[in-house]
Amino acid sequence: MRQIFLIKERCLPGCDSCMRACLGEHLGHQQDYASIQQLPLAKKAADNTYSFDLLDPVPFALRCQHCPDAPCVASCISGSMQQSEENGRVFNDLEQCVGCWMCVMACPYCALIPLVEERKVLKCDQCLLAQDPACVRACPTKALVFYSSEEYEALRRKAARWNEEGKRPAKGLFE
Amino acid sequence: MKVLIIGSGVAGTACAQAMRRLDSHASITILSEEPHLFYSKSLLAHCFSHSWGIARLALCGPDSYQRLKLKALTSVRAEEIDTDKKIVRAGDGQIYPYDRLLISTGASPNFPSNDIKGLDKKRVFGLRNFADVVGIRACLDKLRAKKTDVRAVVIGGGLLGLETAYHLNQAGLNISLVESQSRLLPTVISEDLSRWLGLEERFARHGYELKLASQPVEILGKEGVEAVSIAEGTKVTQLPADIVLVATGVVPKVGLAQDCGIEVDHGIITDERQQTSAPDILAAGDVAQTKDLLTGDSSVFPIWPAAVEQGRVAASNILGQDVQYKGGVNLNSFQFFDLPVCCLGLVELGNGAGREELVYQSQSPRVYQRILIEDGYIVGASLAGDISKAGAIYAWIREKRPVADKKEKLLEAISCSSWR
Repeated sequence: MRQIFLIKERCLPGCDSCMRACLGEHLGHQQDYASIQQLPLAKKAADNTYSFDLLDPVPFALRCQHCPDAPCVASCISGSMQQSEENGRVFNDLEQCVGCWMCVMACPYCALIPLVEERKVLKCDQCLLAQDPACVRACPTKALVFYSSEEYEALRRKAARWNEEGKRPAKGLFE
Repeated sequence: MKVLIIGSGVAGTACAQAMRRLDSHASITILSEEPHLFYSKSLLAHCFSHSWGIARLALCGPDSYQRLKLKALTSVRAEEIDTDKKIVRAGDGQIYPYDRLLISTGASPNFPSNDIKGLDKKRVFGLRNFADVVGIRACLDKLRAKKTDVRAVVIGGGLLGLETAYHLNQAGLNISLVESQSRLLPTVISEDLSRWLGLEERFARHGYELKLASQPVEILGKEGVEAVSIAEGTKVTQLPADIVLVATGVVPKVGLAQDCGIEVDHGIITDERQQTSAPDILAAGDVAQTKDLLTGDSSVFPIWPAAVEQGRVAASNILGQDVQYKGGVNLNSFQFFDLPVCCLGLVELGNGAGREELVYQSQSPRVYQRILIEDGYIVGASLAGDISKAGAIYAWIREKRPVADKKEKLLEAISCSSWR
């Protein structure tokens, strides 16, 4: 299961290409772009899981972890919240969603955005059918990358080691 | 191994699916007394405002049963469990043997016929399965053919009562709602939140007739309902009614378990592994009574996520893995009119329980956030207006994260309207 990661040092504040790409991808549900906004809410624990802390938020690109066995899917009363069997991406079918807010309570990352007036829940769907999400494709500095957490950690460690040894990280290490 | 599941609701289906994921060989049979496979009972009330059919509520198509190799039998009622021979006798005359049995029969509407007379009259309904929706719809069609101004009396001001009232009102009915307590949702929200929300006033403003602190006494009428007499203190009045909806809670369907000697309290008593007092028989969902994470007591958690979790715990234990249920936490959410509300865990301060509260309120935008702390842990939260932090707080409750000296920071966290 691949996830979107943010390499903070590479991010150009105010660039917002990711948000515009997200908006473009989800035209029709314009509020969807909100899901890319950098709400830094999850942190990685030693056991390779991400945990959320209300008090000590840690920068993170996207809130939805597309958890295996996602609690939002398990708590959905309408069958709208689903997990793709093909690629594990969790998405919400807005046609079916009734805005009961059960998933909002279930998600420890607070990754679900309640649209109160519309009574629907929005979330990142990793651009369900695309190979790479639009935000990752659009990022001009490759600050957003799309890897499985194991791959990402390995690459990060490698980059850090090279940095220590004074080597310049190979171009495109994260590409 | 032969696994038999009685009831095709949330817990039963979650168990079957989880079991198939863990073991591709076990023979899994689901008996459902309803004519439909797994569908969402939580959306039943929505059917009145949206004219939805069963297809809209269905959550698993026949093909998904086939794909998971689950044998699901509809309209088959389990009549008797023989714990010695390990068989279940069913209404279709068949005998179903099992190696492991899961009872997930759910709950049925509570008809308080001791307190209210005449509940057996025509046009008195509960709302628990799709057949009720069909019955109510047919009744409404007949009534509408005769008159334009159809009046419904809803008995019970809990979540089900309000939701039913809300959707019937959307369908064009005039609603009177009777609640024995002096406020709406007495068991769901705290008195404090109740005052802040002012639900009573909101419902009244939208044309609902609310009878609070009123006890329904009798359903009046020759054959069908004509009126409901209610007692407000010593004063007895009559509410005209064409149709009556009884929403005074649900009771776990424990009959089947009770008859074969399984220990039963309010629900079927289970341990952390969803195991009942009888060997190889487990129970999960609205019918099971299990550990309360916050109080340590044993109680029934008639909520969707608890049923899924219990079903999965049961599945693991059926297959010989030792998995324990963490314990249930009550979760309720609703939105009538403009404000979304989430209530997690305990809601009242309680007298002498030694609970502290962190409260943030604002009038514009209308936001109410309240966290309850007991012995250094968060034990409950009520959020209205802004529910975006509900999930984070639930994680704190579930994982029992110590609050310690972080109270001020917590208050700060719930006080900011957005996290950006």
